[in-house]
Amino acid sequence: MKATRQTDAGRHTAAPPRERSRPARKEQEYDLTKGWAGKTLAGVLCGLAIALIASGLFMLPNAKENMVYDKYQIAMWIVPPIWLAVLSCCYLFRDALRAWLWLGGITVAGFALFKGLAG
Amino acid sequence: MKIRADILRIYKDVHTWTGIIAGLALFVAFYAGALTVFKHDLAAWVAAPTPETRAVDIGQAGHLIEQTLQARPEAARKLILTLRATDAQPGVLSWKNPEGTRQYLSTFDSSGKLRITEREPTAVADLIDNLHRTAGFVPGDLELGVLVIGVIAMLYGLALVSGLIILLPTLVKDMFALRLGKNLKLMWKDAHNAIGLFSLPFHIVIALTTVVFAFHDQIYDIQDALIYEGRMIEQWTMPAPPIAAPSLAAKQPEPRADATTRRIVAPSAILADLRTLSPGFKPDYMQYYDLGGKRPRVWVHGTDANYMMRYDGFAILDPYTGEIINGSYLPGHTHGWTSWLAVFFALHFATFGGATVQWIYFLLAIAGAFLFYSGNLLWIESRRRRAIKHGIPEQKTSVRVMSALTVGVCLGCIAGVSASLAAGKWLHGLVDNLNTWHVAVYYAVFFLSIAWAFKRGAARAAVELLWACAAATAAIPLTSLLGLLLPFTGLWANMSPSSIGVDIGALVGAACLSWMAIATSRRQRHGQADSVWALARA
Repeated sequence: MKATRQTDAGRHTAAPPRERSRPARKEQEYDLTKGWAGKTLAGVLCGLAIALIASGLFMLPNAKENMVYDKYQIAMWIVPPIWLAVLSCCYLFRDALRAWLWLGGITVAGFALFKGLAG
Repeated sequence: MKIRADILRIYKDVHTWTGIIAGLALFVAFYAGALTVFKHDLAAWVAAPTPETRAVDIGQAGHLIEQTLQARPEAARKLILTLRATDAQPGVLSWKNPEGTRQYLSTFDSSGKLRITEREPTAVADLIDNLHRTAGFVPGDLELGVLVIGVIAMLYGLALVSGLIILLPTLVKDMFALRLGKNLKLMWKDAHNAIGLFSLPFHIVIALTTVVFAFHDQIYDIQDALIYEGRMIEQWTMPAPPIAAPSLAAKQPEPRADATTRRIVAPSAILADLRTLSPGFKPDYMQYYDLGGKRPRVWVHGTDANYMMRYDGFAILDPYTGEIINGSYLPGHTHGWTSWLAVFFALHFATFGGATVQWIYFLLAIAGAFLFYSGNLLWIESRRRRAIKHGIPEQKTSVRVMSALTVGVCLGCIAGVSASLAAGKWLHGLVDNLNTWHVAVYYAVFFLSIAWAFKRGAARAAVELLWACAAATAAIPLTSLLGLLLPFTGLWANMSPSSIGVDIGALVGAACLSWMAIATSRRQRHGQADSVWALARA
């Protein structure tokens, strides 16, 4: 995926601070195609990890000793939608590093939360 | 809706790349998927008649099973009692050899004597299903093909999300627009967007369920380690919510007879119990496993169009006691999380609402195949070099390759399936392993079509291959007609509604394909000269 247009990043589009009546400054645009491979990898790997952790949270309480019939199958079924959702959003990060830090951070925090709750 | 330009730009790239990588595989998966809805009817069309098998009287089925097991103990592994006969499967007791290449049919003849015959069963229903599940990837390796389709399904999901995002800013303006006319690219784009948008729920369901079907084993393996700490087997083996068999409720529990003398419960008694529990349940067949062994089971499969079913409805019973071991998928007895599972499966397999929903799914799947075909056309149209002032430009290699691939793969798949089905009757009796020949004919036509598209160029090949598709599809009803008029040819025509339905469907399909061939040929001669579809360019 190559950048098709010049990036607008860095150009100042903000209104002078004294003009209070104008709407908030225009959101900056970035070249989001930059680092698409790294973003995709973060989306695929962290997305799968986040989805699996979410399925673990779904099995709480008593994740290990669940007695609710067929609930474990639903836990498997909820993995692909979350995985795909995270993968779909990974291109919104400004660059691959931010994608990895955010998604990786959520993965680590989610894992810690699950381990904490599941015991 | 307003979306930042940079976001639109990246999702446009995502849509283009996922679409171009996954599009052709998805075309095959969707075309074969549409046919999968009617796979048993296709098998009924091709099945050779089995004249010497009398349908079993259900009252005698228990005796038939016992006598058959005495004569052929190896049948105890897996026995099927067919209750609703089709052309492909007579209403008798049957089993297969472990390789699945021979089928044995057992019934009582008119004098009440046990009669066992054998034949090569048609695998057409499974072959169509395999093509659907793998898009024909990795011929001969089903598991690897399914995993590849799992990846394709993720790309497909990504293409759906990104396609929706890039459509959002002009959604209201474009929703009902179909701008027919000079600007062909705009027309194709409108059609692509309209079909994509209106069948989006269907596509999201298919994409997500496909990822599940492809990767469930891998997901369970990770979850076993992550969530269940290696004890997922306890989840897997948890007993289903109990359902009492009505006929056993009145009786005192009998002491268990020992294994050598115990007798199976009459199939009619089992069916009577299920009828009481689930009045709308129409049983299709009973599958006995491990009779006389440690874990004997009978699965009663059937349907009830008023419920959403996991592939079909079924109940698992103990064949010696009549106890219901698992009735959680018996229509009307599905509760809790299990009912969600039934919904997820039903939404993929169209196993709800009967024939109406099956036809809707058939049309949605054909529309889906068109979605991927039109997506490829848009890619090609966006990249072709236009004539400026003098002469017609040479097209880029990528455009020539992609247009030849699109034509070859899509039309090769259609022609291959039709030819493979028709060949089932022409090769019957001439070859030893007909099911292998079905596969060989499909791949031969498929790869020859692709080679032809590259040799002749997309424009010429499109017309020629469309005619080939029309001819191969017309061969289906023509073969039946020949079988009917000239039985000495060795051909035959099954006269069940299923089989005649396939003939009519193929006739309509052949007419559509002929019309497409004529339209493409007209465009080739009179359309824009710098199009990849123009004859001058070919």
